[in-house]
Amino acid sequence: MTKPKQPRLTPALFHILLCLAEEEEKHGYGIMLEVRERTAGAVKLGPGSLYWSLDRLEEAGLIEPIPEVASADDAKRRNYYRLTTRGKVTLSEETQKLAIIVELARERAVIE
Amino acid sequence: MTSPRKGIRFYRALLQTLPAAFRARHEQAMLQTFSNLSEATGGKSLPKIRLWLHIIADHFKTAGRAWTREFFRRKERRHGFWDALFSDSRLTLWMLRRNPSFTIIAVTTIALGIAGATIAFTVVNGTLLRPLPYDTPESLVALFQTESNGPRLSAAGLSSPQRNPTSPGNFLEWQRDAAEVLDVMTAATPWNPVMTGLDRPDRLNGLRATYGLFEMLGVPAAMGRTFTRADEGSPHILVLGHEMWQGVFGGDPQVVGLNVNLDGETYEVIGVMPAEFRFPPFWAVEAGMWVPLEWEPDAAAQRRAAFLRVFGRIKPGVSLEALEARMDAIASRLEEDYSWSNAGIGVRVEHLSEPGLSVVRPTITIVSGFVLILLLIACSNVANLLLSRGAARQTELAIRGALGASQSRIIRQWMTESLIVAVLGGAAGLGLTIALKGPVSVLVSDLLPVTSALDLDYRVFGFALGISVLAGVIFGIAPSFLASRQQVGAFLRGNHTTTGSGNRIKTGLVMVEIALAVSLLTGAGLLTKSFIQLTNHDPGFSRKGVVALDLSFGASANGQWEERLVTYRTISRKLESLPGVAAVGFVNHMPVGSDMWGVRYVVQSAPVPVPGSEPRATFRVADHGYAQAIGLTLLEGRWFDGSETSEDDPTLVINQTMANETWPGESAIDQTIRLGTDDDGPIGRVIGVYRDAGQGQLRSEVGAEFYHPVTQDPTTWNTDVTVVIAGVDLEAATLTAARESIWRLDSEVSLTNMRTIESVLHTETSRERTSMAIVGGLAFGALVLSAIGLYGVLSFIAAQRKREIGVRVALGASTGSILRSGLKRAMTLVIPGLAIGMVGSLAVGRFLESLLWQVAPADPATFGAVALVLGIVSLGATIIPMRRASKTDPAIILREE
Repeated sequence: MTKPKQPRLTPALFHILLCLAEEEEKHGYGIMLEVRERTAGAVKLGPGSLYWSLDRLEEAGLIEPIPEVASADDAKRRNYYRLTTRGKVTLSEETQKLAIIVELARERAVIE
Repeated sequence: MTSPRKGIRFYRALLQTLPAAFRARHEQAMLQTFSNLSEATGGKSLPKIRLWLHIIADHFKTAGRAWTREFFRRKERRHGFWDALFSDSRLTLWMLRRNPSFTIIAVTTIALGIAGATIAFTVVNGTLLRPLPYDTPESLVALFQTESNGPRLSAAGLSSPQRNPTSPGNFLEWQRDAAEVLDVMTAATPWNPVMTGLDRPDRLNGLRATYGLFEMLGVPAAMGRTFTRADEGSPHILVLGHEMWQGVFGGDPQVVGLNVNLDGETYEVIGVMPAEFRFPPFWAVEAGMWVPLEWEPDAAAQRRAAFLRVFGRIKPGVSLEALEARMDAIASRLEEDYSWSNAGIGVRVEHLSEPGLSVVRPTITIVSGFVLILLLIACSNVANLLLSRGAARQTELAIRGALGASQSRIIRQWMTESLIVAVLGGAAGLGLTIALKGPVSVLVSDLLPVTSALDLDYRVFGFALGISVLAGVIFGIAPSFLASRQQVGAFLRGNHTTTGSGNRIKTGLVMVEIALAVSLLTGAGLLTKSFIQLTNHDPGFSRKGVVALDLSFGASANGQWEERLVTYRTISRKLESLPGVAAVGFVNHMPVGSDMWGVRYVVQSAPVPVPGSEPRATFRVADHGYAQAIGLTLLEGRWFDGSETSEDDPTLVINQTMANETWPGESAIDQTIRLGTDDDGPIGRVIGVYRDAGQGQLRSEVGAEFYHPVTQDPTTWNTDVTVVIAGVDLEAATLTAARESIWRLDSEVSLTNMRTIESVLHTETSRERTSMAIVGGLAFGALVLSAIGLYGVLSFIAAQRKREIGVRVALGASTGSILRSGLKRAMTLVIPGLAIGMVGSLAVGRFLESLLWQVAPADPATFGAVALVLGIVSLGATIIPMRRASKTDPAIILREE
């Protein structure tokens, strides 16, 4: 089996991964609201881009749907997702890169 | 976007524009998300508008991404398909090179089948599918007169009594009253004038047509111009056909403006038509020039002599049915207004192509059907070959299966092989078609309408490709599925024989082949028998030793009637004195293949019939020598002696049918009939009865007919006559002398169309001969192919049972007993095949009925002969492989195990 192609992590994808980093599974709408809240509306996902992004992440093996979550009535309509190990690794690597960038920027006093 | 429900509906509609796969995964969740978002707006307008702007922008972004991805995914899938096809093809070609004998047999078999089918299609394409070479030909029609009591005084050159010409009176009424539905209506009649001013007078085939002809057809002249309604009043103009321009005028580029002498009058050539132009497409098809047709005022009013063929162009938007309805109404009115001439007369409307095609359609359909049967037999043969090869390739299949090749992958590989064999066969078949195009055109040219052309156009190539692929699928499908079902386990356990279903399919295919071959053979047998009947049929006149020659007096016809009679007598005497000549006679229309004029008559001794229901007879005009020259047999009374004059009452010699119908049980001699339907018509007296002789067509039933002496008939005797010369072994020199002596008498007479009675009968049976030859060839091919198929399957069975046979021979079984058991096996294939084939033959017989003459579609003799032929051939195909098997040394076989 070939290694799934790693998608370029756009801000939207990154935020979705970040969103799922908490140890609980979330459904699409929940992710959408959380991303919007966390970024103060800077990253705004519509339903189309949301599910498109989830597809890409799933395809790359970074997240996985949870087949059955017996959570009352909306279980029929919603897929719940969680990070895979690979997803966790990727997220931490990416964050690491960002941290280095942030560190560099701070040394040069780009930000405080 | 007032209510959330509406919003959901709209969003759902929007989602339909996404790729199906994406929708299937997320539609429900997306709708749910949307409805959550929608609820969150709290129903306030501004947030709602903002939401919608966001949703729509998001949707377009997603749709763009999803479709792009979908596009690449599909392309990738296609790449996979082409890659596999490429590698399958490479493997197949390698395999075909390794097995040249298989390749040659399979490709040749298919090539023959495809060539047959493609040639048949070329004919269909050149005739049935080919539009007539006129502008928008689909709106051109032909209009015929129909008569409830058969044609009257008409040149019924066509076989169907329901396609009769009409009279000028009727034509003019039709033309006036149908003007709302027809753009142009034209009438035409053949005109064969003698052209003088050349070395020898020449009779030309032409057509006189009313001025609207070319306007109706919408075909411009290639050189000069055509005549139009603007030319009315100046009928001495002439439009030449390409062939006549080339043939008679040597392709003279200055021909337009030239004056020519036709029947003693001067005509000016005003134009030349393009090479492919022909008109009319049926009936007077040899017309090579066109001249305006005009009438004298009193001729225009006459309604009795029906000699005009009528054509028209339907106005745009008017249907054929509407035209029919209009013409029916006109015909009913004419029946009322002119009951004396139009009682029982109707109108038949057809597309212009129909009269020509209706003659050839049955033959073409039948031959095409037979060709497809042959192709099916070829396909079964190749399927059998592939099945046998499948058995030989079990090792390969088992290994591939063990290596994980899926069933569909193996089917694909095998179908690729079949299709490649089929396409190679198709290419070879197309090559064969191209090579055979010339001979086939010659063979079928007599049968086809003049407007047809056997072109190898893109449709023919498309057909050849299509039929090849179809054949590949047909013969590839069973072997492929069997191959894919090959059990790896069974193979490894050492069970190397073909599966039972493989053998069942093979034997089933052979049975089908035998059945198809039987049907084809029966068809060929029926046609052959019909042809033999027709050629051995006694036409009532001499079948050989008679030569006929058409005389046309042309301009010199202007002389007196009495002078003409003298000319005839002189010619007769001169010809009789030539060596080898036994008798000479004149007639206006030769029997078989010439015009037939008809007249109604009233029997003097019978009650007066209802107007329009008078009996009708064909009549011919002849001189005193004719009966002996053509070989009529007198049963009663005598023939004319030449002493009859126009002052006496008309004398008639009638045929047996007319005598029996009119005066059953009594002698016809000295009985009288009134000719025509007028009360003061001439009274004819019967002086003789002759045995029925063929009239219009050899195969049509003989109706009432009588002869009338030339010496009493100055009116119907026109300028064209046929002189009939009887004699044993007439030499070419005698015939040349005959021509010369006639020209010495009158240098303006044209002499054309010299033919022997044998050639007339040959032409008359050409359709039968050609269809018999074609179907016979196909049937022979079918017989050979199915014999090969039977041979192949029995060889295969023999090979499978080699061990058993070896053991039996070792135990002392005789060759005879081995053969017997082989034959028993063969008969289990042949007998059911024959039985199914016989049932099929009944259908084939029905299908052929229109071509058969005096042969029942289920003729027992033919069926028996076919069964016998098939039996003998299958016996041969069985004995050879079985003998070979029984001769093998048992030691060798047993050692192999």
